[in-house]
Amino acid sequence: MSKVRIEATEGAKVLLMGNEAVARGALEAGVTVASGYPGTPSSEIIETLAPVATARDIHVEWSINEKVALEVAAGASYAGARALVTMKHVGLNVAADPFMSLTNTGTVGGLVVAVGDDPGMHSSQNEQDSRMYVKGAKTLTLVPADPQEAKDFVVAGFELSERFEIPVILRLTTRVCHTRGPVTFGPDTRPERKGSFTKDPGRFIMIPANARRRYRQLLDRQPDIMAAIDAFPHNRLEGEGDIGVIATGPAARYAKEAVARVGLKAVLLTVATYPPPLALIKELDSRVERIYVFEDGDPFLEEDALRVCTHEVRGKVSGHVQHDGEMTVDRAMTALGREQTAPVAETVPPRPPVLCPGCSHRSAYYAMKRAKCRVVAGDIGCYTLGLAPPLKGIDTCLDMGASIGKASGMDFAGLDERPSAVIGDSTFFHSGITGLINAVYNKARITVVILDNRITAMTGHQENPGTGRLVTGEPAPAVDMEALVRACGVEFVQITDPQDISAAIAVFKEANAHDGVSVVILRSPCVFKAKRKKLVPVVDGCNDCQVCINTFGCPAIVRIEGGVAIDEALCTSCGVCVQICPHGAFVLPGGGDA
Amino acid sequence: MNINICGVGGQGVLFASKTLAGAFLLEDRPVLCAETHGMSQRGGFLLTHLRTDEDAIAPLVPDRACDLMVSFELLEPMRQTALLSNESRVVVNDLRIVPLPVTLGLAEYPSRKDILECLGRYTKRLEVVDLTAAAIPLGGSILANVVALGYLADGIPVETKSIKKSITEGSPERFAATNIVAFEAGMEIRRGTAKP
Repeated sequence: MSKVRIEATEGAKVLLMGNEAVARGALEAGVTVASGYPGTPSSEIIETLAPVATARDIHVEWSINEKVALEVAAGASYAGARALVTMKHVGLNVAADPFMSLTNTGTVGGLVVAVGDDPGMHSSQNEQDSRMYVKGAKTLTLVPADPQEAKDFVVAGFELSERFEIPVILRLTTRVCHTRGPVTFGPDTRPERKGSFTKDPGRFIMIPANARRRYRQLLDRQPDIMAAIDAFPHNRLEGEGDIGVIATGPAARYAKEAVARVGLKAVLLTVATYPPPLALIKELDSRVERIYVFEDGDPFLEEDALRVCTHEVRGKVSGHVQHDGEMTVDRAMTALGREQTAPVAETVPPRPPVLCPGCSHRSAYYAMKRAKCRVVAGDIGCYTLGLAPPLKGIDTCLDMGASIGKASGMDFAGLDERPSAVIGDSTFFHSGITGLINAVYNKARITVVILDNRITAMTGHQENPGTGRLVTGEPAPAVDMEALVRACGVEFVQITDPQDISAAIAVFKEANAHDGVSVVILRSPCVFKAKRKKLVPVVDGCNDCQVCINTFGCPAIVRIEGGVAIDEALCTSCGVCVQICPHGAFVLPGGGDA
Repeated sequence: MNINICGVGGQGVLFASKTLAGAFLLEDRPVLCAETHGMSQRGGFLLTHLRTDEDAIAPLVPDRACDLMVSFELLEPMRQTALLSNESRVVVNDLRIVPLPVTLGLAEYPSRKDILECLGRYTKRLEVVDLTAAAIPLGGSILANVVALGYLADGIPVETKSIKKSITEGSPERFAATNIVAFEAGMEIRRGTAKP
């Protein structure tokens, strides 16, 4: 849990990451309900709020998934509370169903959805631009460029949300979420958590007759929303020149720096909203000869500029700016016409992220391979890292909770091999359980492996419904995974420890022989949470066969002249190497039992 | 000043970056520090961007605009040569951390000589320092990041006492004193190698 001074007094200037600044903004706006699902780059918002939640009587939760997180916030809003929801960009897909109809019912207490987009895909499977939901939902987005704006826009977002009765998206990007900068605090507010709900069936019950009327009302509000966008003070024109630059979020900062570095005279329109301020775009168009547009993600601003500008518009649509990847100062400089030779990339060995030394997922994949699990549908979590050699443990990775559905589909397609699915505990709760019920109901013949390490590990070890704790650290009921799986109708359910390799292989073989859905729950704590006595094996009698390296690949096993050695600093005493060496060359000191 | 810090997940790249950024804020100076979290922390490479000039308003250091690069691992600056110019000062920890693809024989880790030759083509201001060797007797290799801050302190436009204060404020209480010792050890190494 981060120790961040988000409760400093008004006027304090504190170094905050963008995500921490969003949390501070929530305190200033008087949020009383905050919900979210972990996902890089958004996770630290909820983690920053949690430590102050109890003392301030704010409800902060890790929800089971983004859809439920938004529904919790919707209920809180209906009951008059200001509610913050956090998720990464792909999480908004999960929450899209309530989101698209929430603009129809409208909000009561302000509701801000803080979404972390990930241009450049530092930790994501796609580069989708959250602004795409805004057009469909007829709402608006605020787009901060640094931590100070991230905080200020949370406060502004709640005001706009309540003024227009719509959920407002705060579109964050990795370079805002995970950039630290000085943030000057405003006053925080401590409203009483005392909801009240006024029944209004015509508004809150979205049957077609009500929805048709509400949708018309939403459309009628659009001109007022557009006027507020034109008047939003962070949408601003500056500078003089023949060239116009329109840019949003961090790209506006890159653009400004690029203009200065190239030595151009330009009028810069910083856009902090989507939809953009069309009045300001038209004014810019009247003052310049040519317009450049810089934005992370899809060319939404550019399409609006193309629609209303009379002068040439250069950006991603025109091919002057690369569509994919992160915006940078250099990309902007290139588009602005600075001739430069691209830097040469040196040949450097890759350094991909890997499963930690002692991670039980490595043992799981090792044992699955030996039990002839030949086609493995993967999912999203640390265990996705099992794709790399030497394990090559998964064959697909698509979206959260997808593994079981994908394995079922492969079976239904008439695959010769019995497909397997691997899924972590948090991902199973998030959206894997629906896939499991579907597999049982539709009589799939698959082996489902639940990697139950009792934590949401990849995003930084968050609690989940299986861990027995809330985000605040308070004890909570833990889901009985085995009973849950059995209740779905699964007849074959076995629990085993993947670090006991021969036992795990035997269970997988049995599971693969079962006709129907079999579920293997692999229970072993994340190495970050495992409390093991330090007991590093010694290498004695290594004949340099390298089986350990070429089939298991623990980072703590290193090559040396004539064999292998164990890096004591990295070793976490899991003892699995002792089991896999065909020559018994790893020996626990004192014949100890790992 | 544009500073880049690189290394391998688990080496304390983020702590060093955050601490330095905090020192600038203590003097009420402009500062932005861009980090990468998430997948890169599982033993992958890390790169942070620290910008401290009034006009450096964007989070990322542009190509060839790095004034100071410090790497906690020998190979890693080779991945970031686009940031370097002849004027960049590059301080490299003399420590090899072998990536898994190299252990598996799928890629080759360049020799120390080749790495230094390569970096020498980008900058004339290359310094190789064994920060880890200095850190181990003080409490462990993890302290190399704070040793690095001490080594760099005289070349960063912020008061040494501000860096120390930032270290103390940012460290868990039980590590604060050790971190200050490591910082001073780094300053000592610098005094020993700096030309008069």
